[in-house]
Amino acid sequence: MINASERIRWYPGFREIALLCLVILYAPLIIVMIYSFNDSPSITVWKGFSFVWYEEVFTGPEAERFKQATVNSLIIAVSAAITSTAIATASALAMIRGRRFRGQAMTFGLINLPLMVPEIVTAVATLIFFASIGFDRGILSILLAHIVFCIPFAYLPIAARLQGIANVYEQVARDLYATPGQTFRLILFPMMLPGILSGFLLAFIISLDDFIITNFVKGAGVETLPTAIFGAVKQGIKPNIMAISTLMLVASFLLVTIAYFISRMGDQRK
Amino acid sequence: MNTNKSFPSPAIDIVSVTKIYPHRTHPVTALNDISFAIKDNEFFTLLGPSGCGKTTLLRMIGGFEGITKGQIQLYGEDISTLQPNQRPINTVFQQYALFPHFTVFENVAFGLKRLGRDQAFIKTQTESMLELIRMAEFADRKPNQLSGGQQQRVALARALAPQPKVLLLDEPLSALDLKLRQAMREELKDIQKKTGITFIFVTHDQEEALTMSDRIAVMSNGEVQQIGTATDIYDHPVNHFVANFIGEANILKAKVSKSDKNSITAILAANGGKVTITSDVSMKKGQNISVMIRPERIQIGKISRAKSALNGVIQGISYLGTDTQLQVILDDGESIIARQQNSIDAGTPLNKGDKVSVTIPQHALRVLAD
Ligand SMILES: Nc1ncnc2c1ncn2[C@@H]1O[C@H](COP(=O)(O)OP(=O)(O)O)[C@@H](O)[C@H]1O
Ligand SMILES: [Mg+2]
Repeated sequence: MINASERIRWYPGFREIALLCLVILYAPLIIVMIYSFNDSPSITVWKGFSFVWYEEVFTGPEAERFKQATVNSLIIAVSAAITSTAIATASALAMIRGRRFRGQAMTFGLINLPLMVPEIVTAVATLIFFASIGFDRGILSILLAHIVFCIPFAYLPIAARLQGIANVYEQVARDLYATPGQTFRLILFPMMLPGILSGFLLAFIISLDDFIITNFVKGAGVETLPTAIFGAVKQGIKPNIMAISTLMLVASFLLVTIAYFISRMGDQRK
Repeated sequence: MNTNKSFPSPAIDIVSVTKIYPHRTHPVTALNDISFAIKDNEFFTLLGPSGCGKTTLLRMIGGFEGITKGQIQLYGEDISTLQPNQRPINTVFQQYALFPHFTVFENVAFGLKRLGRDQAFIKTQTESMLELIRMAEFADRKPNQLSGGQQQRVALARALAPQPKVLLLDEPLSALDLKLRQAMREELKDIQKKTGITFIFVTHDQEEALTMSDRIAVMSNGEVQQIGTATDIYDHPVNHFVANFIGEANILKAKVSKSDKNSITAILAANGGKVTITSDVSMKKGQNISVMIRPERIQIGKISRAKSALNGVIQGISYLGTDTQLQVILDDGESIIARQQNSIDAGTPLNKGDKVSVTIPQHALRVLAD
């Protein structure tokens, strides 16, 4: 029996629609994961369970290429995440804790605008920018582009966290003889830390899986994991791509889970 | 302590202080040219309705708000331009704001560490503060593992630990429930005596102010209305605002018939009765004045023929536990509130509609300025 309060919140058809959405969202991922263990070069016919494609990823003819791309991706993602998180933290402090200044609302818009600009537009614009100033395209150009587009992603969780910290904590610290520097180091920064960590992880993931902008601004011969995968797929889909995809999926999933627990830890402290 | 004669000047001297919060169209004058002094080792209370400027004044003493005009002195020294961390003054904020990532011990030790005291002293002083607030066994807890009352006491210990010259408290009890609030009043008063630190306590609760303070400044609209002991402001309010804000007041109209050096004689408008009231404010003959009397000073009895008595009819009776409150409409239409203690031998009870006589003892009357 459905009790009365449940019946009020029950709409015919909604359950089916929700299920359909979930299937559409997750079925492709699940199929990729399953077929990455397929003991056959076919990507559609199941022949049995095996790790051959994972072996292929690490030891096959394309292994060197994927390894280099992974190293590039990680270097870029870590550097871009660290830099953009630092910039985002400074901006959040200026926007939320600093004095009000002229054009504050516009600045807020400018920080978040890149989230709404179509990525392809950003990609083309960045490419034109690098070309017009004669900047050599390579790892450095990718890194600069990533730092820039990661800032708004890092900014959001950091700003949200900072907004939730009442001014009074800093006032108490100042009252108890802390200098402005000590107040930041001993009180504000530790209290912001969960937001900063989530901002960092978000920036890291966004950088790690970016394809469009990277593809435009990367030099010839320089690959990140997504561009390397795309390059491989263009020559026909082999199940080793599925294995790589599955590995990336697991890595992302782990990071998101860590981010979730960090942010929850922060909430419990409040 | 009081015996310390090396501090001849007041703990805090507020000298013609004005505070205006700037605004493009509506600047707010939060404090309007106020001046007064707070003595060394005093439990001093700022009392007034919400929005009268108490927090603003406290934040200016603490260094969190700039002074528009005037000066604030600490034991004779101008501190107006010092940063909060440069003032030997600590604050207990309304939100306790314990540092969530520190233990109770680390919270209390924070100020001492910033002052660069040596390890051994920090340890003994912090422990003795935790002892003082009876929280020694909670030293290793995080703030989120404490009740509201416990957090409140830790915030107090944290502010006391650096042994400030003045402690500021902004409505520190308002978030606690009634029983806890009453217990904390005693405790605060006690701690002030033990430590000998000057306390400046902000509240909008008159009962809190009356029970705890050595002296009270009654504020309204950014101005100080009266400063005095609890008895002073309750028994000798200087104006309408103080009379009405502290306890309940009956205000009667009267006309001066004679003004002497220490007293005035006036005719009550209600019944033409002549009363003589001690007052050192001189009045002109024929001037209209207001006189005040507290409800518990009024005697209500069955109708009498006494000349000075006012006659009226009981309009309402409320039972208040220890007291009964009577509302009486006088013959001239003025309404008066009286309170009688509920003792066993109170005599025949009065009822609504009874005709009664209202006796006003002359010595309980006060002249009010407007
Ligand atoms: N930061 C501020 N900006 C503008 N006006 C303020 C500010 N803080 C307080 N006020 C105004 O100043 C007056 C006094 O406020 P406050 O000192 O907080 O009063 P209280 O503590 O007695 O309730 C109020 O009218 C309030 O609105
Ligand atoms: Mg206030």
